[in-house]
Amino acid sequence: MATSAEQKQSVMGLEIEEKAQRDRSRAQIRKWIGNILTWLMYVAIVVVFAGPLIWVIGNSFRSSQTIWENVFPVNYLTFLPFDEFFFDNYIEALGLTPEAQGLGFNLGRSLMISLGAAVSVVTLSLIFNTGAAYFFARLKVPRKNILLVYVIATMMIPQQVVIVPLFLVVNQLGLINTFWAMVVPWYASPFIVFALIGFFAELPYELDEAAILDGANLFQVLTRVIVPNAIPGLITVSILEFQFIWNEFFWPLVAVSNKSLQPVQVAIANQFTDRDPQWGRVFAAMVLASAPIVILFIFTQRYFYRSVALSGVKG
Amino acid sequence: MKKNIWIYAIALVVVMSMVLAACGGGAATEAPSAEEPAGEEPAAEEPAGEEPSGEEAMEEKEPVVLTFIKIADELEAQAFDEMVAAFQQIEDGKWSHVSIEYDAKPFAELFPAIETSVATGAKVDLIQADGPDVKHFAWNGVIQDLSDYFTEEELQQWFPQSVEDATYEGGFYGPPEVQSCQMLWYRTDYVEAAGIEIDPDVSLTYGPDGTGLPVWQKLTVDEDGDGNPEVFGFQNNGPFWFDYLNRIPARTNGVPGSPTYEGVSEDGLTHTGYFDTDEAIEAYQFDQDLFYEYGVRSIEPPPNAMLAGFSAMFINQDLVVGIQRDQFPDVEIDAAAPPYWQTPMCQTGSWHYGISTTTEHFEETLAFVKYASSDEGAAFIWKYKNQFPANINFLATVEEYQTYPRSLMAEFFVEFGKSRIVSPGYTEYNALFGQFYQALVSGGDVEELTREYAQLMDEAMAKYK
Amino acid sequence: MATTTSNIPRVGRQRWWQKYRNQYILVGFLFVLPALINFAVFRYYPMAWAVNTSLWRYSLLRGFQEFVGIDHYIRAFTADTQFISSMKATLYYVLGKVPLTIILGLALASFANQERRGMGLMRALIFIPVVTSFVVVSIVWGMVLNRDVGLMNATLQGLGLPRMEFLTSPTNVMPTIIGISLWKDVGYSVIILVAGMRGIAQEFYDAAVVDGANAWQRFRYVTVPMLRRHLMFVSVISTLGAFQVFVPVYQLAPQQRNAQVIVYYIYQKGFIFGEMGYASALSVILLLILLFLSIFQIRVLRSEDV
Repeated sequence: MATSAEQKQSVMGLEIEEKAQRDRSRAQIRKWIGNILTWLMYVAIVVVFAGPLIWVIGNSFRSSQTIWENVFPVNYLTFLPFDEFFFDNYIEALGLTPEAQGLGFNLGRSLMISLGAAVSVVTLSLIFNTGAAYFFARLKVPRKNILLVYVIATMMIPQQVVIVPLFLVVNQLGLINTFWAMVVPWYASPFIVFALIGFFAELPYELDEAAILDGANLFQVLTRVIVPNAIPGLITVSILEFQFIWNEFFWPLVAVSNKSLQPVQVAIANQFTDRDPQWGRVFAAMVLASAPIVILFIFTQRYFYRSVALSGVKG
Repeated sequence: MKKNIWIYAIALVVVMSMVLAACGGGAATEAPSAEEPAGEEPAAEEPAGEEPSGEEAMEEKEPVVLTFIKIADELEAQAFDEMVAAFQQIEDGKWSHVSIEYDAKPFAELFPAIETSVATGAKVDLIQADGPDVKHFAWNGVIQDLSDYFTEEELQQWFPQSVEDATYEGGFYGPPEVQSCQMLWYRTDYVEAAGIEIDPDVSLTYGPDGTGLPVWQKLTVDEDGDGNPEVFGFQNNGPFWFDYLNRIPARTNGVPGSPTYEGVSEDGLTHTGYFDTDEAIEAYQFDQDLFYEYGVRSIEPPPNAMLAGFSAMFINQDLVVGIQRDQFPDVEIDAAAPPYWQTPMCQTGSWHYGISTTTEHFEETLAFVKYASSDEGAAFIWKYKNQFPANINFLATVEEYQTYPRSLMAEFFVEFGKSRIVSPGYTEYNALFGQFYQALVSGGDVEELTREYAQLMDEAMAKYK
Repeated sequence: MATTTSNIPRVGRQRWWQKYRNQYILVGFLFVLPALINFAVFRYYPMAWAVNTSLWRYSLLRGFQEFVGIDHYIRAFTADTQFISSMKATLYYVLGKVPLTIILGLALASFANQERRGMGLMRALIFIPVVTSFVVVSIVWGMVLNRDVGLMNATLQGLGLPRMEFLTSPTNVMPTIIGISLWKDVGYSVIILVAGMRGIAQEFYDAAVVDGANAWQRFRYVTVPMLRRHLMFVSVISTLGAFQVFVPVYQLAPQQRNAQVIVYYIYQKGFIFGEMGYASALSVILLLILLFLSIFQIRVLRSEDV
């Protein structure tokens, strides 16, 4: 009995060692394969997601003629402006020459308007949507599902149909053709409330209870417990809200006719007349209009992850 | 709870739609009155109140700002800026108190934007209307009948086609800003390379036996022999399709006065028997054959197809010259009279100044419209926009139209220019035509499509009867 | 949900009111009130207006003409074949796009959630299409997919395959539009799902590893269940968005009959054909469909306590 047990043990020991070795080499191969697959994925993402944009960026440094001359046959010159490279498109789009100014180009101003509107909306939305989401996700109120339906139902009608009544409402408030027309209607967003509910609801309820036992009121629970623990979610929805306002087109087009208040998407669309636009300039304008959000995204990513690492209270 | 949520949801919907519709109804009836007092109206009413008090007080009139809804076009905006400055000087500064505020919308969104402005009761005095839309606006009571304010003599300032574009049920709804007419444009280098001689005064003709097809076949280049040409011989619009350019082959396949040629019934509301005549179907079939059978025309032409070098010939108005000058300085192009089947024709395309029915400054707006459409005003538009003027006197002073190739266009326009189909439902018709032509380009059965769409067009016109 | 509620004894109206009668509810309502006011003023009033308009012959240029009651609704279901075909096109789009958004979103999110060198850049790249203007993007895709000069067809031909008419062929146009809008929108779902994955505590994965779960099992039994709320959000939002798709069709194939989705049809009726009353009726029908669908989705995917 004893010997067989010992034998068994030593056999097991051997097996374990062998297995460990096998596992190690297997793990190494796996890591290798993993690396290769990761790099393949990287290439795929760059080609699929960045390819078309590289084309836009590359051609924003060219004149129209060169852009279209290089479209076909497709080669590296289609994407990259090695044959011609100038900044005129950017300079003109930003209205930095007297000539371009005469033509009314001033993307810089439009960028500031868009930035102002987006920042205002995000700030307001952080206040009001957070409150609303807190209500839905954390408070024990009966029948609140009905209210949730009330919130989500607002997203179900096409904007084209409600543009006229929305205009009438905003006009009643005296906001048409002002900066606030682009801010006030969007200070609360069903989309954001709905998203935040998901982020808030996943925090353990014990956090609230502990805080309430410590004598915190509901407002303090929200600001001291929920918000600090939901930073990644809040940043995520802020970025989404920011880009929603940034890319809003038809509403500002209708609501704001004053040229000095035009946000950036309207400014880009205004380059399309009954003639053909200067494509290089349109591309430059698009690059200028997209860059801020991309930079914002890359920049906030860091905070996004650090905050998760720092706040130990999670789950 | 499980059942409850459904019940609540249904209840919510019902209550929402009923109660809120009721209050919505109240709001809707309120709406017209509610719109007016809002915003800037009080300020605008003051001068109206003062006016009758003393006519001598004209000079001290409060400043009047006219709102002009127009396409976003920076060059044109510069033209109007200068024009307004000049307008303020005329008649010893009688109109020096008038200035203009632009509400500029991108070309693609101009029509919806005008509709939204009208629907919301926004303050608009002046509307820039695309030629065929003038009748649509007139029928809807958006712009005013100006017949009483223009003498017969004044109407003769402009080409009859332009005046016809702006005429609806005998009323004249707004003088033209610019006109247009198509030409056949071609790449000089490609035509030379193919060893073809083009006589600018002689139109190529459509049809399997026409003079156009062999030329386009010769101009189509497939160097690598993959069956996919690098250069197509011919291009007429695309990748989106419009009545303005794509209806011409079919209309020219009829003799003047025939249903095919006229394109639509006298009242503009019947399309069957006009859109789907045998000649029209023959022409559409040939159009489709140019894509598939002969392969001389691309089904998906990229933007700027000809200037970018993807096609040798191309039909459009003379704004091609502007694009070439601004964007393709190294490309050499030439022009010839546009192709047709039996009867030469170019479809005209004008922009008009329409005066809103809700304007509170009719007098000032009318004065400006008269000035803008006069030979003096037209000069500013030409200076910046460089498009075919609709003013006859002014056109005679523009040198470019005395010399080839634009002289050719002016001549062709005068002789063969014809309004696009004349109908208050042009907007609907054009949307359907685009769908029809896309289906044709995609390879659908031409006869079937033509008959089906003639029917659909008739249905869309029903509300105008 | 069913289990938790059934455990609670059914309480009468008075009793739950008493139970929550403290300021709790009132204070609680203060949190949600500003948002509810916004929705009432800026969203429900316009919706009510649309409901009312749907009962009238109304055009933007002519205003209200005559009261027609529910005629528009009857017409939609009995006399308008284009409405039915546009609903079919919309369903095609929804059924193509929503599952792909979720699958691709999950796959890309799990990939992008790894801590590896360069992953930050990858996340940014996936997000870039979301923030670009569709007007310009549609030009670019039009060029890439062009039959004669497009990169895609040059590649196909290089591989010895026949050229494809991505946007011109009536059968290819919908898949093409689905593909392009997937490319444009998937970044949304990825960013939400990555954020959700970040919220899953490492302990769950550690416990799963101890239990001998492999990567797929960890994904299937830890990630997906823990992401339920976010998946619900993504699926509801992308369904709502897909039913209301407009811009891709407007920009890429406005004249293709097969691509005429419901909101494009509504736009056409309202703005081009001067029948905003009828367009409003179609919108209300769409609203009802979406309302029931969302409630269904939320019920299916809802986690215990929301």
